Amino acid sequence: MRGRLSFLPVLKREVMCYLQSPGTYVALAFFFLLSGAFFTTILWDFVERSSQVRNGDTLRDTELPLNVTIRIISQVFSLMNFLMLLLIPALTMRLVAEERKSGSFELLVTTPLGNWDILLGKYFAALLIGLMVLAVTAVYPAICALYSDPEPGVILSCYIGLVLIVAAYTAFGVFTSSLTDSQIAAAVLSFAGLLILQMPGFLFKSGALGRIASALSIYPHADSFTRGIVALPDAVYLILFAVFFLFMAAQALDARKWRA
Amino acid sequence: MIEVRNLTKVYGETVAVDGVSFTVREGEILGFLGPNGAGKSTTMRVLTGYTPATSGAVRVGGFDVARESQKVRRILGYLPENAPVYGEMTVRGYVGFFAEVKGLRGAVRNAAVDQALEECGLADVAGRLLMNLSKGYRQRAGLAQAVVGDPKVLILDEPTIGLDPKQIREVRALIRAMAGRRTVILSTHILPEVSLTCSRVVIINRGRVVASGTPENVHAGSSGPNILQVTVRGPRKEARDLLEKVNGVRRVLEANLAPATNTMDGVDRVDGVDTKDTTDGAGQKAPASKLPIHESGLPIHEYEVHVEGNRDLRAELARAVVGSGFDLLEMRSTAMNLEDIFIQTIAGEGGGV
Repeated sequence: MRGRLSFLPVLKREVMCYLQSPGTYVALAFFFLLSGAFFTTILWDFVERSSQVRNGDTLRDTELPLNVTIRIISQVFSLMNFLMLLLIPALTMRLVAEERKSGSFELLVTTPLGNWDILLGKYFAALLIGLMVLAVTAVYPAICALYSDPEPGVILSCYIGLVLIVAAYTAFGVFTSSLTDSQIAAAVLSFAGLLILQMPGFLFKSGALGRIASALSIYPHADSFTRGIVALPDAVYLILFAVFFLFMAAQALDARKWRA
Repeated sequence: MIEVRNLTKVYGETVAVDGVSFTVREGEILGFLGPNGAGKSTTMRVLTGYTPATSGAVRVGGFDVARESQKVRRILGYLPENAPVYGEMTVRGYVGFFAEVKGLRGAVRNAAVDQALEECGLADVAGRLLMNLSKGYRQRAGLAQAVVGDPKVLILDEPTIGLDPKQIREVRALIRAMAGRRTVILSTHILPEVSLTCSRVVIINRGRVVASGTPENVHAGSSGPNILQVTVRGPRKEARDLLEKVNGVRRVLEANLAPATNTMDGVDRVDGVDTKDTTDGAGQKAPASKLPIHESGLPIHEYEVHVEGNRDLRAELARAVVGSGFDLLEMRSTAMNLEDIFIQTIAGEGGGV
């Protein structure tokens, strides 16, 4: 009776729930509004500088070269990493917290489903929505490709990075959502947590703790992808990040059993 | 089918359930009765495997709920308190989700969903969103979710709470119809629910079992008097003397024929019992002029017949009345209903703590 895909009913239900929820569309609208605004600004800056340089102006030393890939693609995707800090918590906040609030959590965990069926179903549902968003963002490089020729390798690298980022952030969001019955608390926790984890090194002046904190920072691992570098350690870091927080979420679901 | 031995559950400093033991045989409907906060929900949460017991052994269908939780969950349908539902789903989608969660797929799943919807009277609203349905329908959807896939054991936490009288009746009928086919534990703080739906009752207070048995046994085991309410058409005094002469009758009181304004769930019985003290001795409480007069001209009187011990005098009393040429209009046993026992046991408990 229990197959390997026993999380499918939960996945299906959660995807339907996302598609029917107005909150999803509000979150997506904000994301596209912001990412679209960033893209347009960066694009216009590029167009403007190009015509200025063509008319005899010279590039400043500190300025990025007038290359579509470096000056548009990398910039836009680097910003999208940060926009995910807003989008993913908004998507994941309800996953477990809502069920805890309504009481359906009690029902769900007493069905034959295991903790992992519940969590993976919810995780993949949020991930699926996140990936759909990423698919839509392909219009930005597509617009660049219409008038220029950005390097496909860098675009691919950017997307590999973004997929891993979304996978890691979603796992963190599932974790914070399973800690509380307040969706707002879950959202704030995951946003603040992910923000601090970008660069936890600044919390420590120096020393061993500082070095460990720096090594565990999200930002350096995430940003190299936008420069066209696909490094195995970065990918492994983000995958382990996701696995670790899903594991923590599974522990949080059992927290009720700890009270003696 | 369900075996609870010395179940104790402690939350921090609070002892929610304290050494509770009971068993439920296959096909039985057990009423779990107690005031709010008595430990009913906690016991049910342990039975479903939601929370572990602090100590004690709980077995459902022969499986230990702590060690073989997966096996228990597969034979168990659960309706938590307040029947939480997913508002954005249709009734069919909701029940279908739980059918899938229980491992049913394809045609088997659809057949199980149809059956559960039919059983719970939801076929007409199957396509509607749960958030747009009344509390009664949502409660029934919760029940359908528990029933889908035909689990052997059903655990229902306050299944009729928040429903209107008509819905309560429907849900009770639904549960009663399961007797024999499923083993059911239902919790409630509404007393008539137990006598109406359950084959056995466990009364719990402050985490301890204070009484258990069949609803009748719990009656018999109580120390209160056995009282029959008899309505006779005939002269007041003669009818009274007649009843008093029946062998085994301890005493006869004239009851107040107050109009029953509170007819819900037999709560008016309490009024009937209360009047016995005020009419005791005097017997003048109800003036004859205010009693209803039948077209035959004879007034109608209601008496409380107190019977010695646990004897069943209904046949003798009926013969005595009819044999004298009076009309016996009604006779019912008010012998310590569950409500009295409930209050009595709980008051007795509370005094000691």
